[in-house]
Amino acid sequence: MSVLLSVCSLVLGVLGLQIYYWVTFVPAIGMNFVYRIGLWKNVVRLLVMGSALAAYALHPTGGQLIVLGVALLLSVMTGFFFPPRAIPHIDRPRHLSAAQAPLADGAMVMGTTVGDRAAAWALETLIPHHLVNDEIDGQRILASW
Amino acid sequence: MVIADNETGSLWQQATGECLAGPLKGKQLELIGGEMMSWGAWKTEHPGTTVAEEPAEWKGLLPKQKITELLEAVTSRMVPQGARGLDGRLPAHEVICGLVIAGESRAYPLSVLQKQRVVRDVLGGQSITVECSESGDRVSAYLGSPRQGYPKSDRLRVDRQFWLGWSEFHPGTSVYQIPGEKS
Repeated sequence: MSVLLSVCSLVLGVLGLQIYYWVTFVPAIGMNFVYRIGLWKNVVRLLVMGSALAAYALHPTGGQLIVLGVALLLSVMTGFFFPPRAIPHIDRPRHLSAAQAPLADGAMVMGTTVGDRAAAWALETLIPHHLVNDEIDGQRILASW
Repeated sequence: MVIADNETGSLWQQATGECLAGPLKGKQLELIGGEMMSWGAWKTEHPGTTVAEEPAEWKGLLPKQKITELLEAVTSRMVPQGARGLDGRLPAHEVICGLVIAGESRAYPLSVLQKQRVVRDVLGGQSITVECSESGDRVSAYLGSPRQGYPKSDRLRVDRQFWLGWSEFHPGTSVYQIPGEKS
């Protein structure tokens, strides 16, 4: 039983590192889960630590103590793979004229027009950043990939 | 992709601009669209254009090049099921150009557009033209028959994306085929 509890604790702890991506693989979880992610992270932390503590209580050995330590580390790191940590967005970038832009003619861009103003975002910028909060001709826009 | 705003924490669907959860649930961002093409083609069409500068400092967990490679590897392989399951009419990662007029949506596979170069079609009860460069790096669509020059008001928004994303958010979409060709 203590082994089962330890395994559950560690598996849940590892899954908890990627809790922001659970909805990608199980859409039925729904958007409210993501909206209340703070609450669910705490639930996962309690389950991870609770399982590890129960395992240790049932079988207080050195091995279980190590499991407890790993579970504690994992519970602290719940949600570690937070998307903005890997894919930082950009706020209000500087805009360069066509003459100043260090882009090859073959580079792919996404462009739009707002009123009489044309603006573009290079895909080599959009792909790793995903989101650019920008302002064109006084209008706030989001360029997203 | 789902996006959270910093002001309220509300969650927004990237593909539709709809707020899915949070204090602004039900609100709608205005989709203004963007055209994907080569920088050379874009600045030829818009000589006064600007382009956003890449920030000097990269603040991600992994190096930027690694993240780009990872994203490209994952997005070209990952096939999330979505809410409706996959639509098998096209391969999941087939690049399509999607158009919507008067509630009617149609996907134009890029490979088909590159073959035909100029497509005349009827969508949403309107006659339209879709033009594609030989390399496929520029696709434009407008109301009416093929012609040189057309007013901005006739320009149609072209959504270039994978089939799996288009079919997820346009469940009733049709797929363009070259007349006479079997699917």
